[in-house]
Amino acid sequence: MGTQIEINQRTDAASQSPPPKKKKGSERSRRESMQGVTFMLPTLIILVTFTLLPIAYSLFLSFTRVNLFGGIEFQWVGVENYVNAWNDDRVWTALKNTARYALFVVPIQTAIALLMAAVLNSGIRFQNTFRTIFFLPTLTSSSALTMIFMFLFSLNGPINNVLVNIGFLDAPINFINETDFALTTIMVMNIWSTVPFFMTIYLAGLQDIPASLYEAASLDGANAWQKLTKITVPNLTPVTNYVLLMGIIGCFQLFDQAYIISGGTGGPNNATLTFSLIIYQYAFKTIGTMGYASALAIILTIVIFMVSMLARKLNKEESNY
Amino acid sequence: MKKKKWPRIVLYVILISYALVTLYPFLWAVLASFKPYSEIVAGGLSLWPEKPTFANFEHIFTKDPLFPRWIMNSFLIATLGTIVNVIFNTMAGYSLARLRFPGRNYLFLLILAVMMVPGQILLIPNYLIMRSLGILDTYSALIIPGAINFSYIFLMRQFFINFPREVEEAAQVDGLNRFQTFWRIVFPMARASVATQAVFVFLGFWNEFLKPLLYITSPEKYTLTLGLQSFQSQNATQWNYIMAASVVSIIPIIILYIMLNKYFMQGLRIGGDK
Amino acid sequence: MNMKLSKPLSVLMLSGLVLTAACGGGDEEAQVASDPSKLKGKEITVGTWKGTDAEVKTFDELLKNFTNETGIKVKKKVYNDYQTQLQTDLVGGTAPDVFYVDAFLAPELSKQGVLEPLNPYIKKAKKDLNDFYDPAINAFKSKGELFGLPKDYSTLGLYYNKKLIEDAGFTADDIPKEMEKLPGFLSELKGELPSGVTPAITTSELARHMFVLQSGGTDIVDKEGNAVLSQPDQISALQPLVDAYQDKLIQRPADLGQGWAGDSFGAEKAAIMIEGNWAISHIKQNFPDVKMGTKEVPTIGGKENSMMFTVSYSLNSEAKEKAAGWEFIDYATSKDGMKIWSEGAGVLPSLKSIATELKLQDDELKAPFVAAGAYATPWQKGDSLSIVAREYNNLLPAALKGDMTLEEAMKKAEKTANKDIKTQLK
Repeated sequence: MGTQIEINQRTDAASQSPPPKKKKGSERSRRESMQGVTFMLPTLIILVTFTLLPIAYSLFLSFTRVNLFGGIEFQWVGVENYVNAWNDDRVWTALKNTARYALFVVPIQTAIALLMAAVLNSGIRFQNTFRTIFFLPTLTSSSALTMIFMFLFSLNGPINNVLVNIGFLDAPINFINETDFALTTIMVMNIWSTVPFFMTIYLAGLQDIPASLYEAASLDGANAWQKLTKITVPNLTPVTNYVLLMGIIGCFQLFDQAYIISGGTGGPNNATLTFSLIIYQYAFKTIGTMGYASALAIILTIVIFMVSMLARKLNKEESNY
Repeated sequence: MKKKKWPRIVLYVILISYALVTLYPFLWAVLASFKPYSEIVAGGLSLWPEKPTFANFEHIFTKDPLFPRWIMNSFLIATLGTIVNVIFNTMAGYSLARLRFPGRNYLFLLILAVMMVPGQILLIPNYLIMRSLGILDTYSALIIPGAINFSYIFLMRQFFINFPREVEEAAQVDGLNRFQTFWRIVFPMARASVATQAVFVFLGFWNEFLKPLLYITSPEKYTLTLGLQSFQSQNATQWNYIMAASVVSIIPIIILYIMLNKYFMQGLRIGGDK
Repeated sequence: MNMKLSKPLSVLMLSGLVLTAACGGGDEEAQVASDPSKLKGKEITVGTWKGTDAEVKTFDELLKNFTNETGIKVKKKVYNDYQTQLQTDLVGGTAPDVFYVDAFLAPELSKQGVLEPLNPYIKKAKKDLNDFYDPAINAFKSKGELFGLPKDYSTLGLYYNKKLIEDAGFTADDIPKEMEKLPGFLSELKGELPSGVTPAITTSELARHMFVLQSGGTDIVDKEGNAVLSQPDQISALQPLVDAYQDKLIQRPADLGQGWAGDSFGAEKAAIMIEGNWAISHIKQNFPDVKMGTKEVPTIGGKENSMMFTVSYSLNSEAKEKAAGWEFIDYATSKDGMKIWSEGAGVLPSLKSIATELKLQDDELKAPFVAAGAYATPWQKGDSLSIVAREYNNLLPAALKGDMTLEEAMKKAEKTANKDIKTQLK
């Protein structure tokens, strides 16, 4: 049993223990390399053709002022686009909005997803029914969902009606058009629709934690909360890393909802201007600014990368107890 | 006794309230598909239609004779795409977690980094690539670039990290090579995560909108989402049709989910009580 | 350093991707076929967007007639998301021979050399341009060249809900013809309307307010392309709108929970709206019980005004079948083609003679919109309008709510827009 716990508490950064058989070591590792590459082959081909190539193109564009039609004309401007971005107030506003959004949404959606998954997994009845219900939000497309929420949160919509009727509010709040509330509305909407996805992931991850661990803990007198924090959460570290990273990426790339709610403007007064929205504006809404849009996209990628690496570091440290 | 019962009730309360919160918007959308446009737009609290009507469904099914064709197209693409994805993603995830090869960690970081690039600016370069490959307006344009999905490669890797070595080593002692070990032992044991992946990948293909919009021009090749998009006129969005269309496009997914449901909870307990 | 790359170099730079280079792009000589019958059997693609069902049906009919008359086959390309798709198409070189161009985009596209100048074709075909409404055709002129011919037009007019107005004790004639008197009327109206119904509704977009801002004589974009939004005469022209909003005499659709004014009006949450004529068929189709009337937009300073939205048929400068494409444009904007189109689709024809022939001035609902065709301001202003509009739309709500004064909001919009225009477009 001791070995089982050891194995299950491996974190994702842990180096793999050397293979027990060290005979023919180099031949073995060469074979393993070959196998590794073979397994990765389809991925590599598509990665290069459809991802790296376009990214390289965009990287190139970010250093130009380019006009893509009527004869492709490139004007090499070096880092001018990046300098302009640094001086652009709207870019900073977008960055602030997006960061604030991520800071709020990611922890909440991770916590709720984990909690709900744990509850679902705890042997309650009607498990399948609940799971199917919880899964539903992932099924509807984000545009349909956004419009539904726009109705729900509108001045005469159900949410306002209920809040006013129970006396919580004196007068209905225009959630979508108030600078203070617009982004929050999107946050609520997003959490509502992404929690099921991450919850399902957590559920699958929970299957891999052996019951024996919990049994042993019960024998030692642990209560539910202790089991949750000392067994469940640490064992889910790789999955949590996934949820965190995908959450960060998703939040920083938030586009659909901001676009639909503000009609593409990012208003009122830039309240819903997310970074992806500003990229879109420069890529498709104005002509001749594709170079700038590309530079912004590269900047966003770097920001997400830095935040993700930070999150990964933090999460690792937490699991070392 | 008290200690045991109290937490149970709390759990149920949490579950039921969350279920209600989850269901409400969804119910709203489904019921809205039975309402005429004017009723949807008028707002108001009532979920239930004042004058229930099937007109919306009738409209979308009959308006365009290609509607059944679109459903089939979506099905075809989503199914093919899912099969291909599940195989490639799982292989890649396994490789990244288990097999050591030079540059593996850099490759993993690269895959993570690549996910962080916002998709809008890749639209036009990808379009140019499709055009030069000559696969515009074909199903290949939708399946080939989407044959792998970085986030699910990432997911599978995370799942494989904790996968117990002894199972694989036992298989190798039994004379299976790596491929056989992977296909016959590892893959089946990762059922829970594979099934999860499959459902979401399918969903991704099913709901995919931007790629068909740009790559597919012949109406017979439209996917369902693209075909439904055409119910938006230039000036106003016909909500009644869109709600009805959303309901129609959700049904296959629910069926798929129910079919794969048993795999979610089943996953063999890895390690532990062997 | 400007590098107009020759084909081999650009191919190298983009790792073998095939690009659309405009080098050697077509002869300057207008390719009007001296003998149109030579074009029989050729095929052209026409880019369009889906409109109402009536528009779709009529367009197909138009295409069929065209093929019958000229023998030129037409393949239709329907855009679902015009702006994204057209740009992708143009970059990728897969754009149709002929396509719709919204007047809003025309200056930018013509500046980029995407649209073929039509003057040589018009000259050779001896086409009479006088029959077109001036604002409509001028929208597609740039530096003396014509880049498209308008296929139809829409203008803004004033809609009123007959029942709500009458129940409140007023008649249609009570609605003021002067914009200056409107707030007063709305104030009286408000007292008599049922609760939850707002007197008037406006969309807070530059596309609806441009004529108000310019009514004092100051254009919203100056000769260098910079935004001008905060001049005193502009502020004083727009201030009544802000005041009326704060007095709750005017609301926006989003305030009432709808996506656009047409829905708020149709749901009878507003008694009056100023919107385009496209709302007529929308309301008839979706809100058949609503009884509406229309009038021309109230005058400002005694002058008639409105906004015009128009779309042209334009010729792709990279088109392979320019002569055949021109034939289509010619036909669609001819008296025959225009009659089929406007009658079948229910839109306003861009030819004055057809409007007369179809007796549109006698159509109770459409007449005010037709009349506006003579004086409306086109929704268009050089290539910086999209940036100016973006900032106006972004900041006006703040002024409406009272977070900022109108002047502050407009100054900020102007400043941000100009900063952007300077960096991006110069």
